[in-house]
Amino acid sequence: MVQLSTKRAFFLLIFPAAFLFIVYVIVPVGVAFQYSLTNYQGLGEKVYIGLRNYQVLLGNRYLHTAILNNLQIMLFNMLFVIPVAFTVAMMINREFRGTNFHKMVFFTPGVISGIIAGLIWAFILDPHIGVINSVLRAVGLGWFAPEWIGGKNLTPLSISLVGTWQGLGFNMLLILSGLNMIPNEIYEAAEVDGASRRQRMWLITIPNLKETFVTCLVLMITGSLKTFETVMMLTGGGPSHVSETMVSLMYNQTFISHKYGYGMAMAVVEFAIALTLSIIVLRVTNKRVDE
Amino acid sequence: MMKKVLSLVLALCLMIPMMASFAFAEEPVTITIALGAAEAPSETGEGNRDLYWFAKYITDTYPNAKIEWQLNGTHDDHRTKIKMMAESGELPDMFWESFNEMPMIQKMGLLTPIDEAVAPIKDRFITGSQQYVTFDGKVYGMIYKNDAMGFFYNKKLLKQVGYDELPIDWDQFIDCVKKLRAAGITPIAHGATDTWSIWAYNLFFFRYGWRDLEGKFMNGEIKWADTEGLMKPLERIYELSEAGAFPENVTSQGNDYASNMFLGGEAAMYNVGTWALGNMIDSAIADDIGFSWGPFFPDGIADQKIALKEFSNAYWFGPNAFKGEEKKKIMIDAIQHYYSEQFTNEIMVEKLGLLPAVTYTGTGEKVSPLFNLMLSYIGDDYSADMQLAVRNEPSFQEPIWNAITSMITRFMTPEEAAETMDEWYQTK
Repeated sequence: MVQLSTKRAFFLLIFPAAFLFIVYVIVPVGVAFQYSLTNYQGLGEKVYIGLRNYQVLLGNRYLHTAILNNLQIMLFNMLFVIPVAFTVAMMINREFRGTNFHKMVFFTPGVISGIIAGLIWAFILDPHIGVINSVLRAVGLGWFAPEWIGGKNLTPLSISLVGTWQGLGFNMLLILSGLNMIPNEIYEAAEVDGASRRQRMWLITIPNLKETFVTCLVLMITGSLKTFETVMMLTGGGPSHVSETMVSLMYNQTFISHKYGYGMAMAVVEFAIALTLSIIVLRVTNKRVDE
Repeated sequence: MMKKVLSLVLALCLMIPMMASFAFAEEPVTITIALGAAEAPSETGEGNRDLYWFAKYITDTYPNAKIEWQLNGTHDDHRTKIKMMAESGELPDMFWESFNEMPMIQKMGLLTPIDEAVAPIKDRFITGSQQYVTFDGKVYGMIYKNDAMGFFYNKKLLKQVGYDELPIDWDQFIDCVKKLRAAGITPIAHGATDTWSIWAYNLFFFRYGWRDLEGKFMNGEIKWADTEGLMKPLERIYELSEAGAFPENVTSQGNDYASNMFLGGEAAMYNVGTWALGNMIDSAIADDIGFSWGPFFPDGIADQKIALKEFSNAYWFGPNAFKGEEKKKIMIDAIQHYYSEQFTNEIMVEKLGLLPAVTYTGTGEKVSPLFNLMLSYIGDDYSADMQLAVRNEPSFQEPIWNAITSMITRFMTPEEAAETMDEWYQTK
């Protein structure tokens, strides 16, 4: 009889996944770090310049803008997506005619690729031909029609809005499955004890969804840091880099400005930020969940 | 038996011509040509129309030749792909690209010189046209057109504010802009989302001494923010913006919008190059269009008679372009045909409305007055130069476009824009 619990079997079983993880995740990170120490411009020799790219990066105004935009997107998502997704999940977590239809409607934006979502919203937010401003003009509010995209102030906010729209369905689904995991007996017992609907929500539902909320939060934070396609489709990071996110800035520096070494330094910094944030969130939330 | 013999004879009779055709068929030749999808060759429209006729000549003249097109997405996608191919030592037989990457690719030994094709016809080329495609004394690129960049203007709209033509004195230029704005006319059509559409503004830098300052800045001898000759052009563009030169929605519009604005008679000026001539000639305002290289600056510290007359991107030839006798023969003949009097006069100029890199010897009767006007500007006594981004390494492109565009949108002050240029130098 084959003993699957031996060390050899253990390594044999994790080898395929570990191999793929190393080749497609660990090695590229290492290669990116190696390139970040060079002034490589896409052609010819790679000249090693030590940590100079990182030194310059610290003073890069566009990186500061990009980090702030990422934080704004993250904050916007945290403030709106989880509460709204929770509300929607509570509303449709009951049997009524058209439950599945409602679930589908809320979930659809989540399965649309970022590129398509960006394209759709470009037609909605465009200050001149976009749906919103056209409606505003049609009802005589043309003077109010703002520059949702292309302006200095609203562009990052508009990108956050698209992110929220896209993330809502997925988070709703996670919360819905979390809700289904809560045993009905607890609610029944609470009802017998005379707990009101509000008390049941605050004292049973929300505490039991803690782990789901943590999952949503981690996915939201990492997702916010990866915001790219929507930005590229809506604004390309412009005008004048005001709507850049960390990934779009890295892409623009690497593939548009052809500063591969510098772009990779950005990628490494972004990787470090994402890793740090994820670890912090996991530590803090794990502690709270355990408590 | 007789039937069998007869059918055999018949079969042989049928097979003989087929076998003969195999025996005498010329060696099949495949020529790969790569370019961005937006520049895809077409008989009409926006793509590289000259390349359509170039390829047509090859396939019409040499039935054994086949053109294989590689269309690589946007211009940036195409550029990245060419770089990646060069890194792996493979390049298509012919590809469209700007000048700035080519010295490096030539040093890597991946370009085929085309001297054999162009040397016999070298007298036909316009002076200076071979300058940016010649490395180590050999010609590597097939220059395809001559682009003049500046301000096209609508004479009718200018007349409304008291100007018969676009003034070249800076103070009058600004005055003209202000008067146009006051009259409710957009002075200069512009779309800032296409940050590259800053052609005419390059000249501001040349007229403040870019030719002398460029090398010093690139070597780190001077800082942008501390150098008057580099700050002044930014300040002038900012001043234009403050005077209301650009459309109110400039930040959210692209170059197509600007073009439509000008051609629709809504804007008095449009900063663009001669590649847009076709649309202008076909427009309702064709007879009212004038041209100016741009304003002279009273405090300009360089010769003001400089113009942006640029030999645009070229077609380059990969390492296998002339591999094999038949292929080499076809390529040399096609290149020579491309620069021939007939192709230049009939196709490039009279059919496509492109300003060629070789001398036009036609009568000019078959071209529009606007085209003839531009031919006269190309031949004037202003010294020629090219866009700042084209003169320098590729990574310079984005920051300079962004700095100039930020002056137009006033998203940055000249000082902030100068800081971004100095920051770029740090990453060089």
